[in-house]
Amino acid sequence: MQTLPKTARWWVSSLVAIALSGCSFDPVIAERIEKLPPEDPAGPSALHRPGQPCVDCHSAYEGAKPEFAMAGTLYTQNPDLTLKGVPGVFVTIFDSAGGTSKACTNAAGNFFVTKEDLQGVADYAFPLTVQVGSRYMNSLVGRERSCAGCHVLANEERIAQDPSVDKATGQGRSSAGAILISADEIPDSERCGPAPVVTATVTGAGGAAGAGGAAGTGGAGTGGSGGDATSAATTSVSASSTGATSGGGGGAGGAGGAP
Amino acid sequence: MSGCAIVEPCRLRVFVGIVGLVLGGCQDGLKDTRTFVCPPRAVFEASVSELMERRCGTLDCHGNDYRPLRIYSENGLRSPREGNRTAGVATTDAEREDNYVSLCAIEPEQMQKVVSSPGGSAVNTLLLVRKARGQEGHKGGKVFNPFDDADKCVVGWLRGDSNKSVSAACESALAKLP
Repeated sequence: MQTLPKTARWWVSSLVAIALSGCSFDPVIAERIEKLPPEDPAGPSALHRPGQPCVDCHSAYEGAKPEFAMAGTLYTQNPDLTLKGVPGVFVTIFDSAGGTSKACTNAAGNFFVTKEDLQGVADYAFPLTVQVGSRYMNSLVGRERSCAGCHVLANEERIAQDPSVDKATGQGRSSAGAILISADEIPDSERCGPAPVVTATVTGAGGAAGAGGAAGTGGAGTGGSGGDATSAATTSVSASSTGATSGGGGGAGGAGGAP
Repeated sequence: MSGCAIVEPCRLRVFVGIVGLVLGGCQDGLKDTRTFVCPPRAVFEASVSELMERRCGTLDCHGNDYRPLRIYSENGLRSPREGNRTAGVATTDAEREDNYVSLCAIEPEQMQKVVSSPGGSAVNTLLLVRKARGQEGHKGGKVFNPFDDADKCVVGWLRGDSNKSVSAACESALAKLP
């Protein structure tokens, strides 16, 4: 039997490799990404898409950089029941192998731990537990890296399907709703930036003036439309890590246009 | 072409035939209902369900409407029959009952074999056990190690061990969870 020429064999093997690499398609994640609202007009930043499942895109699967090990958004509720992001609060993640990661919420209330932050550790050992301010999450995190995968906000589709959904927080029969915290649940030891002057809201209508940034690598935020002062400060992995020296939450500037 | 010389009566006859088949199918389905034996429900609801709820029933795992093994709980998925919210009222009796049915209905024939030979090794073949032990593909990975407290809790219940030993294993397993 005659064998294929070397060039043809190279093409065939390349095509097979390309075809196999495409087999990682995940219809569940793909559908969630498909349903996401459009990108912020200002483009991607550390402030973009609060309340959305960050790790659907910031993952090896979708390829957005940086790749996150865990990410989410922290909110408080206004007297009129609308939600607003809470900056400058530590979120602490404890894994089952004794590792601890801390992340600081930015002006939009977003926080994230990148895969690179997991220094020397390949990944979290699930299940995880989470502390926000003085509160501990009631349930374990089984394997979801996007907090918003379970803490799903209210939207028209959910409200139509399930009348029990809280229209303000999204809490319902299949969602814990927004991750909420109030000022009296944030002791000084769990603050990591300036006092949480809140400007980012779920319906965000442009950046408002923000408070000045604190010292630290978070930068010196001066409010406005968000920028380098707003990236989340993270420090990670190890039970002894205090996070005290990590960057501040930066300026609590406006998180304009947050969807 | 046989029959159906006139179009409309033909359509009517086809419609009536389809309705008849559908209704007949429903009747046959009811006649085919079979009963399977499960491990004791009281032991499950008193001891095992709480461990399953906390370790397996999180919203990102089996606390999900799309899982064949669906687990309801206070801090996970709530029963659609009761209108409760996640992180609301405690797990209800109806939810624990549904959890029991969910576990039993995954492999009813196999489950019956386990129950009919108490203390036997058939339990090791159950999908429920094999997945939890990481011996079968499981997106949540290995959850129990053979003979650890969580394994003794679930396997002990399946094998028909004494209420006391199952309860002790479940409580110990719960205490070890983070």
